[in-house]
Amino acid sequence: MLTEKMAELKHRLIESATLVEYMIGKSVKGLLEKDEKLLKEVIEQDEPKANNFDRELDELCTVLIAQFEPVAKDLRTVLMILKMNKDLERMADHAVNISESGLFLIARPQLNPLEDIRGMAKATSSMLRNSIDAFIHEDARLARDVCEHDNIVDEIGERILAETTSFIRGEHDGVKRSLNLMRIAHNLERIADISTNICEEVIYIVEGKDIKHHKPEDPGEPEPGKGI
Amino acid sequence: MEQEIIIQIKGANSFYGPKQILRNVTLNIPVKTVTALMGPSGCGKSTLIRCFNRMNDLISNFRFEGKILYKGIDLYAKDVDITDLRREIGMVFQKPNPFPKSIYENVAYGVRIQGITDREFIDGVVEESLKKAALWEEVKDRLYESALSLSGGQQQRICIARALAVKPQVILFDEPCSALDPIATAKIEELITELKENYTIIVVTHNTAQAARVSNYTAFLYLGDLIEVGPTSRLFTVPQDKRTEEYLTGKFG
Repeated sequence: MLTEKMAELKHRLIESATLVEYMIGKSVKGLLEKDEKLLKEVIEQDEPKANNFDRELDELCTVLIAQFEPVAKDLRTVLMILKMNKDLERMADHAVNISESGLFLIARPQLNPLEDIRGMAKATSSMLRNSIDAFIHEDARLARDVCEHDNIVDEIGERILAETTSFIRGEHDGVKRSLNLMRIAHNLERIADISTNICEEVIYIVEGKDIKHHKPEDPGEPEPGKGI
Repeated sequence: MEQEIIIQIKGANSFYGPKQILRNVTLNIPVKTVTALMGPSGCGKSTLIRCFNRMNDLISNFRFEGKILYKGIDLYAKDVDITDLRREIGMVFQKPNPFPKSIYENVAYGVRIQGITDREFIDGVVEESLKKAALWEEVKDRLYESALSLSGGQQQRICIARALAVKPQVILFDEPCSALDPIATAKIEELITELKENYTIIVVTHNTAQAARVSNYTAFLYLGDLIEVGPTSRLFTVPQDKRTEEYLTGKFG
């Protein structure tokens, strides 16, 4: 009963994650390969599917809590799946933003070789993939690894920001293109950030530990009754 | 897709002497689903479930008005054979009530009273029924021991096997877990969920969590009125009637 329902819920979340991962890959590929069709597919076909997953998973979680009153690890899993669902829905929106800016950029002469965008997208996709793998295999170690890799994406993002700022200064013509490049970099950075959120959620499922907003050395509040 | 309805309750009123218990209850029971009848004590849920196989006939001052159609046949019509009816619509009670006989004889009972004596046939029915009741593995080596030697949960599953042996279409469960511990309860609930693949199940329970776990549809009764009925997933998340909401959130009952 509850076991089957939990398995179904996890399965649907993984399906949704697979779609979002595909959308992000497609939005960057569309930009790099100047493929208008791919970019339009993300906006017109994939996003409505992602929205359906969002609604369906919200409902599945609500009904499961109401009917089966999950506790302990089951409760942690349902609560975190609700959050991951929100995370995935946001990521799908970011993929749409990237596709929109991609459509603007591919219709115009290229400002720069886009190598940093390629590198940033690769690192971001790998973080997302690992965060979902960590969820599937309940692997808290992998989840922690992903959280530690967020700075790679941040560093490339900083570089893109500096480069595009210099474009804006030097070439009046390129302002709009530069802003769109920045938008793409920003959206990739958000996807990377949200991947770390998913990993924090996985750690909470597996270990019951909340590592959000905590520095690694933060010992947290002592539990009542301990050390008396 | 419209679901096939196996039992239709139309304007059911019932009385014990001058006291009215059910008030104009109209309800459809879809085939091969679990329908839970839920409500606080005195709401009429047990009276209603006992109307489905006319168990209330045994109470001298009981009176029923309205119609209950089983596959279109009026259960309260004069020419209905109650023994046939109870074979089609079996019942499992609150307290496990195996006969003081062997495990084998408990399950074989319903077949024997039909006059069947073919040993091989009866052996087959006993094995099949115990398997369907998820009890075969636990009792196959002790079929001739007394059913009273079993645990409460096993005794309840014997009663389920006994009901299944006469090949019913509908099984009524009247608070089937109220005398059982949590583990035995979980087994019965799991069994109910499995049985709905082949049988129509109606469960009376005052345990709202149990109604939520096992049923596809839930009907909420209060003071003899059917307040609300609907898919369990909907009723437990967005009940339409304020009284259902208040009952589910523990404000009364």
